[in-house]
Amino acid sequence: MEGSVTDDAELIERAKRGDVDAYGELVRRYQHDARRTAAAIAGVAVADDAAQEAFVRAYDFLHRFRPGAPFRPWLLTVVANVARNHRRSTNRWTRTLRQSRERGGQPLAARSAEDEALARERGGNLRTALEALPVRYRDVVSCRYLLDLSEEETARTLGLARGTVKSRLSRALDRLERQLNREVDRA
Amino acid sequence: MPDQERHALLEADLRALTRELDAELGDLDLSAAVTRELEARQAPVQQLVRPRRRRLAVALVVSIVIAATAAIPSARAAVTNFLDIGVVRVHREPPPGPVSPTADLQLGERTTLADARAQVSVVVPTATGFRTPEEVWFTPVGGGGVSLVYRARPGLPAAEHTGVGLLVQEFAGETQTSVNKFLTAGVRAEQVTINSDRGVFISGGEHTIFYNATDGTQIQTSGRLVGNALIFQRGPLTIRLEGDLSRDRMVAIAESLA
Repeated sequence: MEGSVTDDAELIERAKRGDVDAYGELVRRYQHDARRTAAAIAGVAVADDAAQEAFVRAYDFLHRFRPGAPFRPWLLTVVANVARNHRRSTNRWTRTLRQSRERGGQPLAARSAEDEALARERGGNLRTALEALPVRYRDVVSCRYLLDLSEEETARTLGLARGTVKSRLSRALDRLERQLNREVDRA
Repeated sequence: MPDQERHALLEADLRALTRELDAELGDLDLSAAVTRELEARQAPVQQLVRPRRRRLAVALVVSIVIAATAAIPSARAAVTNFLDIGVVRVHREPPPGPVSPTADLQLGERTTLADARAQVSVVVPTATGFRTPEEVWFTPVGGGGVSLVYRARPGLPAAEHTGVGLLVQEFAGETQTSVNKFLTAGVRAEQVTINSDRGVFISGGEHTIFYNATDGTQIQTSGRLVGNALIFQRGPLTIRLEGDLSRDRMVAIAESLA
């Protein structure tokens, strides 16, 4: 949930002066986005650790935050960097996705048994295809679709040019389509 | 066909994965853990050692050096009593048996956090990066002991003698001796407080560690070398942290145990 810029600005200023409780309110406000971002990039297993570490690191870098700018994309940039470090050091993303896929994932909505089976198969195939994507494409897809960030926010979060996000998204979706079609042909 | 149209179904499927992600993440409030960590870091270092205790700590270090060189039995006894924490006894004398620099950590049997908690009380750090130990071990030594193992990673170097980033050991029982530490010359021991609990931070050289059986007899024929370590007592638990970390970082991690 995006807090108002004014409220965030006041909390940030108080946090810069050492008001930890004010920062705690910012954590409550953005922890859902932060955990989602960390999970999308590094995997569910390390998402909470990565998000918590990112909040602490963001606190250390608050003096670099430009007053008046929206807090969310700036914070998510920090989260993404921390999550990528976790991914590099643990490589848990692959394991987490695989475990989740083996569990069959969660039901997406109330459907008929047949629809649900098809959806689960499609979801499982999609996860497999996503997992097989090179990291540079997977990060863009995760931010844009799993986190529902705009192209602009995705670019800011990953530290990329907007054009790069656009082109990587297009290539990533092409690759996913090809991969999924191969799965269908094989079935 | 334009990209947007071509990928519409795929985009919808990708967005649907978000619900799976949320379901797997569940609800969790990180704010308490984050603010606790920030508050612990903001506490001035001076507060870690109470002024009166700090004078004692300085005297203690001097006493240790004297005890090491002169080996006066009465002085040694006074120092060791002062350093004893819970089930840990600190001796200022040569170790009683051979010491292996590569001895196995002897943590007991590998288990899970849930199984360990079913047998004894266990606390886990809530500091960033330490909420989920990579390995959990249980030993029946003393009243039962649990070891939490954190592998080395960027920012958490591998300790020379354990090969892991951080080892947290928790022993039940307040007075029964089950862990013996033997300090050698040059080892520094500082008294610290962890929240309101008394503790000792040992650094500056190698010391050795031996374990006792439940009947008080020593169960190891050889000890192992140890680097920096923090020992303190919290309620019925004696807690020991070991790793190549500074005193302040170890205290911060210890204060986050919950």
